[in-house]
Formats: sequence, structure tokens, C-alpha cells
Amino acid sequence: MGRTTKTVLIAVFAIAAIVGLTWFGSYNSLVSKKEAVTEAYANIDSQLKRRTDLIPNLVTTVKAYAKHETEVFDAVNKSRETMMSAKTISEKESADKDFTASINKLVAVAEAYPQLTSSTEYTGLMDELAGTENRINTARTDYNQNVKSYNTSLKLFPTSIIAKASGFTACEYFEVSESDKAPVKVDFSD
Amino acid sequence: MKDRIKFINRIRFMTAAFAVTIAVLSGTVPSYASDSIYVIDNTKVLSEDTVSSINKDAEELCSQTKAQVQVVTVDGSKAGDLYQYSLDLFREEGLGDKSLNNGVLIALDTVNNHCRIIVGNGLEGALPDAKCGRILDKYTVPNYGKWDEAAKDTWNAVAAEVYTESGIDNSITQTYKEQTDDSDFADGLLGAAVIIIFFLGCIFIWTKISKRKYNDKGSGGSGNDDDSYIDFGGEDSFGGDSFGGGSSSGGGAGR
Repeated sequence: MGRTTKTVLIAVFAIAAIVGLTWFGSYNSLVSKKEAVTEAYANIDSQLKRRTDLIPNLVTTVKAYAKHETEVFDAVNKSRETMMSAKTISEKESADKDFTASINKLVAVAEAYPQLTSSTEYTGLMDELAGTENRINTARTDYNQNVKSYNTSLKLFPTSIIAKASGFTACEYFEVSESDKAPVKVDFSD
Repeated sequence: MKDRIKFINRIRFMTAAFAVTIAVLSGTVPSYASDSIYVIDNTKVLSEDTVSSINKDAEELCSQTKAQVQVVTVDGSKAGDLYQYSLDLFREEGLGDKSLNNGVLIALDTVNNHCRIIVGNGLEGALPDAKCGRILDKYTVPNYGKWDEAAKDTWNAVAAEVYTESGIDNSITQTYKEQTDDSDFADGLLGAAVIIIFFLGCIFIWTKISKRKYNDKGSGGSGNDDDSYIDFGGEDSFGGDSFGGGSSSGGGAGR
């Protein structure tokens, strides 16, 4: 085998090795990032579920003082059911918006009853609700950060080629409207 | 050539020092005292006694339970939203053990009279949001302005719950553990105890009668007491001079 042929063969193998390593490295990176997005989405789901589970306790507590506010309770229950049946990100965004609005109305009703708002049970429930809202916002932020990292990788060269060839597609962001960014403000300060 | 390398290294050092100084002054990175990792007194309102006392107790807590509970004082006007600042700091430091996620951050905005507790994922059972709110209402809010008491009592109340979660009973749990209303449970327990004692008494009397009648040994009798117990944690000593990489989803409460 001539010297030139040997050199060409070595160069071909070297290029193939570099391409192969790049391909596997990028593929694995995309898989990891996609898994991070899936996990972050599951976290949002579990926090949203936590809130839907919390709300019946709050409704029961407020009902004890304001039985006549049936319209508000019905709105909360209806939006809760819609929230529980939402499947896609856009459905959850829409249901979350309505659910938050109905909870805010419930809290507004409760604030008209000083005996209720000063009770330990109500205070505890509002702490749980505020904590859950914070967790939802944190989970959304974490999810969107993971989506950003993943979607950016899909666009960078040469990962974009590997992504297209392997069937990776971009993920949706979990959009939050301005009114939803601070949905339930619980302020016990003087 | 050597002079050139020296010059470049000097430039690098000055740039790094400048960046760190800006970060510290901007309030985004806490300024640590070299031997006080469990208390970060940014607003300098805590006495040396309080700082050293909390650090000592926190190291003890960490060695027994691997939990890391930190107190931070902050000027809320510079730090921005107290919740976001506290959560970012918690995650940046990695409070708590990485696998147990048992860190807690107590943030005191000593300028605007706000406070916040951020709880690691692993302690959300021991310190649910409602309990954190009650701790703040009882120990922090009434001590606004008396920051030594606020820091010490709040830290102790949080530590009491962490110790209880690990099955440890000590002076802190005896003083600060939240007393729950167990009256219904106690009544039920008493009733059950009466029935069991009555039943055992019947068995005892029956065996005595049986022995006299048949003059036989070993005819049953009550079983041995079960001395089994649950041993919680504490086998391994944790370093205690660095944070363990824990995380939080933002649980806790604020006032």
C-alpha cells in the first residue's frame, strides 16, 4: 500500500471518528435535555394537581361563613374540573387562567368575613395556597429554562442536522400572562 | 516573556477581584464570614453571640440529621422580591443533603420587616407551608426589630421540627416543638389501652385458673413486649463545613 493511500485512509478514519463522536455526543445531549424538559413538565403537573386538591378545603372553609355565595363556589368547582381534565400545555394554560381567576374571587369573598380571615384554619389554608402558587411559578420557570436550553440546541450547528435526522422536535413554552404572574397575593403584614 | 506573563496574571486577578466586589455590593452574592456559614448577616443586625450560637447549634443539627438550616438577613430594597432572592440563594448554595433535600433557609428582611422560610423538598412533610406560616407568626413577626430573638427563636422552631422528623428529642424539641391538638387521639388511645388491659387481665386470670385446675406449666400467657424501635439516621457524621447540594421547589411561607 503506497504512502499516499495510507495517509488518505488515516485521514478518512480520523474524520469518520470525529463525525461519529460528534454525532453520539450531540444525540446523547439532546436526549438528556429532552428528559429534563419532560421531568420539568411533570413537576408543573404535580404542583397544579396539588392546587386542585387544596381548593376543596378552602371552599368548605369559606362556605361555612358565606353559604349564600353559591355563584362563586360553582365557578371554582367548574374551573377545577376543567383544570383536572386539561391535557395539552395550551389547555392547561387556559384552564389555569380561569381557575386562578375563580380562586381570586373566592379569596375576595372570604376577605369580607373578618372572623373567617382571622381563623387559624383559614390562615393555614392561605399559606398552603400561596406556597403552591409559588411552587407552580417556580416549576414553570424551571420548565421554560429547560425548554429554552433544548430548543436552542436544536437550532445550533451541527446538532440541528443530528436533531432533524433523529426526529427531535421543539417543545412548547408554558406561557404565563401578566395577570397570572402574581395570582394569589396573601399579605399578612401590617 | 516572564514580565509579560506576570502582567497578564495581574490583570486577570484584578478583573476577578473587581467582578467579585461588584457581585457582593450588588447583593446578588452573600458576603460570608469565614467561619459562619449558617448565618449570613448582610445587614449586620445580629450580635456575635447569636451568630456563634446559631452556627454551633446548626452544626450539631447537621451532624445528627444531615439537615442544614441557615439564617440570612437582607435588605429587601436591594435584594428585590424576597421569595425569589431566598429561592435563588437556597439553590445557589445547595442547602441540605443532595439526596435528602433537607435544607431550610430563613430570610429576614430587616429593613422592610418581611420574612420568608424556604424549605427543601425532603422536609416539606415536617415543615408544610401552614406550619412555616405559624412559626413566622409566633417567633418572627412579633420580634421584628429584635432581630437576635427573631433569628434565634425562628431557627430553634424550625430545628425542633427537623429533629422531631428524625425521631430525636432534645431541649430544642421540648421547648419549641409545635404542640398539636391530640385530645381526640389521646382519648382513643386511652380507650384502646383500657380494653387491652382488661383483655390481658382476663387472660391472666384464666391462665391462673387453668394452672390450678390442671397443674400444668407453660400454658400460654401473654406474649413478650415487643422492644422493636425505629432507628432514625445519624450513623454518619456529615462534614458540616460546606453545603450538600440540596434543592427546593419553593415551599415554605412568607410574611
